[in-house]
Amino acid sequence: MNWIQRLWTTLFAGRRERRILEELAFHLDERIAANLEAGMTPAEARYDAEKRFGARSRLREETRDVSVLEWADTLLRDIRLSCRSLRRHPGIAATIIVSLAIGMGANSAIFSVVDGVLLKPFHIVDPGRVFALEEFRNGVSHNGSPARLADWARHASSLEAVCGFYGEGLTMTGQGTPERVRTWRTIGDPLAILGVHPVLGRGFTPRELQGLESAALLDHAFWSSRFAADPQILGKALTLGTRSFTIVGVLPEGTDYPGDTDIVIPASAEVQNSGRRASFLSQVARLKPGFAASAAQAELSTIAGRLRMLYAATDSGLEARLVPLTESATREARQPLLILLCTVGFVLLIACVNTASLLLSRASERGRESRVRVALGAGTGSLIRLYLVESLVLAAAGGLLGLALAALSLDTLIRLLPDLPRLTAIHLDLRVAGITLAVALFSGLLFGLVPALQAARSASQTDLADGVRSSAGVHRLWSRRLLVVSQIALSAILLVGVGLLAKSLLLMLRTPLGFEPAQVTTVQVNLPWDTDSAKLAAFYDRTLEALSAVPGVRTAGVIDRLPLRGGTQTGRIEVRGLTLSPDLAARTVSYRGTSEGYFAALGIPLQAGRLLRKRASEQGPREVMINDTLARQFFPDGGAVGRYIAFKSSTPVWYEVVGVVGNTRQSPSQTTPIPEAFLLMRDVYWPMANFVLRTDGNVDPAIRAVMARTNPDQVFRISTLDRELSGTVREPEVRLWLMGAFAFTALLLAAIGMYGLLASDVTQRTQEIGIRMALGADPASILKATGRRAFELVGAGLVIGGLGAIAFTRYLSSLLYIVTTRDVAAFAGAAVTLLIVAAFAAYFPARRAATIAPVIALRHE
Amino acid sequence: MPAAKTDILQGTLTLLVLKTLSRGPAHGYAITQHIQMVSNDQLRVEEGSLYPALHRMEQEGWLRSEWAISESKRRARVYSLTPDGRKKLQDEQQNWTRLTTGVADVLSFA
Repeated sequence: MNWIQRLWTTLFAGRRERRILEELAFHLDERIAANLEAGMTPAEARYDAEKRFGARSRLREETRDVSVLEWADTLLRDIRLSCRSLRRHPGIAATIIVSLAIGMGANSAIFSVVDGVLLKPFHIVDPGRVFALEEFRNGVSHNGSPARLADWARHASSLEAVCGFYGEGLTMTGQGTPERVRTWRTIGDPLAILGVHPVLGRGFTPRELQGLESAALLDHAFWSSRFAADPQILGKALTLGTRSFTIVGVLPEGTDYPGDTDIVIPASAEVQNSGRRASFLSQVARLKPGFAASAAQAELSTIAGRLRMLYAATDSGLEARLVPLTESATREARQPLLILLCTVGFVLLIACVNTASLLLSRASERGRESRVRVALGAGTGSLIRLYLVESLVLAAAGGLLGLALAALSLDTLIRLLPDLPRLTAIHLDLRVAGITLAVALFSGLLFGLVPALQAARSASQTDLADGVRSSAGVHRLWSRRLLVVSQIALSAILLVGVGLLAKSLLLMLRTPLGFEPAQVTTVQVNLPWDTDSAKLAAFYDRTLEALSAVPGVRTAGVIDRLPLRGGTQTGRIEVRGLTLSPDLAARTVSYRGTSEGYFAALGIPLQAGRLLRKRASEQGPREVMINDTLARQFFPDGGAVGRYIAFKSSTPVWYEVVGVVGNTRQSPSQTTPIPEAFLLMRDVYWPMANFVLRTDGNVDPAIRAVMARTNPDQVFRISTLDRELSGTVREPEVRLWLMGAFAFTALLLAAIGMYGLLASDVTQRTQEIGIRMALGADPASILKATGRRAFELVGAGLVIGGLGAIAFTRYLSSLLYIVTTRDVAAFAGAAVTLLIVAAFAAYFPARRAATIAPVIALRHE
Repeated sequence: MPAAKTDILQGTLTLLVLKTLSRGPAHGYAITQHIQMVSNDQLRVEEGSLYPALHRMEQEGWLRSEWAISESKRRARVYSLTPDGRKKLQDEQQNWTRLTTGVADVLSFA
């Protein structure tokens, strides 16, 4: 044969094979019929017919042209055969492909998020040498100070460069409308860490790095969007906050560390000289070439030891750790994402189990086909191969469809996932596609192997009857039972997780807020951190006055941070004329800057005394209001009003308690109210604030006009309290919905698996049921028997799943508010849900079993 | 179980198939039946090698085949001779005669 013919044979081998198979089947049947006519028993007839085909090996050799293309030919043929055989069972094939696609699609989508956020290295030259330098004091993480940063840089010979940075939002003026820009303020050379050179201009000079001369580097995207990539931008001045900075260069495109930013500016000299006590820097270090991270870590530990001795007052208990950059930058996102990844992994596992179960059920139908193949010379090996190829074809189809699903849903997913770092790094790229494919192939092998082995086993039996009741059938049913039990167990774990999240969210929503968020407009402002405190107080007073005068505004107040948004300043207090118990003396008290109108605007009730009074200057008696909890804890006998308290310091400042207000919730996770004090804004230096206005109807345009007139250089954001607070519920909500959706999918798949098993169970026992009914069993008892089988499966699954849930849900604990991972209601809820689903899945097969007519049942083969 | 029948010599299967089909189109099973019957059960086609042989012959252009409905109302592949196949049959028949006379000569001579 020449090569063209060879190619032809290879390409059309499937058609030929199919034709031969059909011819051979025809031939076998004719021979069997003839043999039967001649008086043979059916078994003899078939045995003789098969024997006449002679040596199987010869058939194989002759049917297939031995060629260099043989393996490709075999594979192609198997794939074609699989596709054909799947086309004959479109229902099963579609069920399998769709469930796999859901499983794999969810996995690729979540994996691309995990990959982008947690795994992909930053755009840094030689990223393996760059580490976050994290400080701990007595095991508690805290931020670095410029003085210690200098120590690390000076003493660590294994470090090539060390840089500290902190984020600062600044208002850019002089370029049209004032605009909020994000800056990174740095101490040390950021370019030495990144290992890059500006694409335009130059890096910082030593004097600029020390904050002695002003200079700014623009982010590439900011330069492109805000300045239209103007190459003449160098040397121009930017007014940010109260200062002016000269643009010296533009960062390369794609610079993504330390995070989203517009401008990089060395910290001012004052900031760089702040003392050892300061704690505001994130630190990052680049190792010298040839130094291992472990060596650098050892050196840092030694230095930390020396610092602990040298500066006992500030550095006692100090430790330093080098942490991989991606890990350090994504710490908070890590756990929820990994949990999500785990969840979709479970869904995929369930889909695989389902597929295995469906394929197993098909394997029994295909016993005859397998036997014909073996009779025609297919070895056990090639039979297993054929079945595996079929599984792989299914897996590949599921994987491709899944990738498509993932591509379609990724944008929505990204929008749903709250506050993820590194969002721009998330793509459905070749890496993700490759992993999906690998997962698909692996799961194909996973769910294909059992049915393949089963098929090979049953085919090698000489049992020629279509042995439904054969031992292979029983064995197969056992495998399927195991599969269904594992599905139920996996679903149970997911359901418990969802139950915990749901309960946690419910409790969180139900805990009283202590204020009325409806109809409150908020105006958020950010002033530079170096704003003079007298100027700041004047700004708050002036703005409040102007906003109160807006028609439609009933009450106006100001608060440094909104309730529920978390984050607060804290201290320990003393009470004049009272010796506090050690417990109370050590208690943390939160304090906020506000104004008298705040309480009325938010509807927080005044329980005793009066509201704070505006004070026009620094001088004059200082007043404080306390919340109910503080009053109860520190003044259990009442009489808080009129007492004096101070925040502990070397020079305490005394405040008179003028009033007591109701508790408000400080953070979503807070279950018991914390003691809290409210001071006038001018007594708490905090240049960012929210004006809160209780209004009638929409007064946004009027507010905008007033703000623009009174503070033309200020950027402000108008919103509503409802909207501002929705974020705090949104994250747990989204998490719940995502996990809920995945758990629902899992449940659906488990129900399909269970239904399939019970249905074929009933089919196989039709005869037995018929006998029972002929002997007088009533339909109810048959129904009960089938139902019992279902509940045995569910029971086993629930026990295993419950144990699994206990093992797995502890990873959830960081995402749960109020609820503990051993919550009985969540476990019970999961069990009840599964029982209901099981009842549905079992109902139809059970009813069929109960309505079988005995005569038909007895005839049923 | 009857005593083993003579399996057809390698290479003669082609001739027997061509000869059988020269009587008219037939499907695989009919071909084996015909050969067995005509040879008084003395020749027996090893059925496993019949179909590959049929396909090889079809590829050589000696046979063509099409689906038809059998006596038992089943779909069966029916083979018939092409003009090339008739020529091949003549050649094979001559070869065979030459071979058998040769063999007979040797046998009678010895």
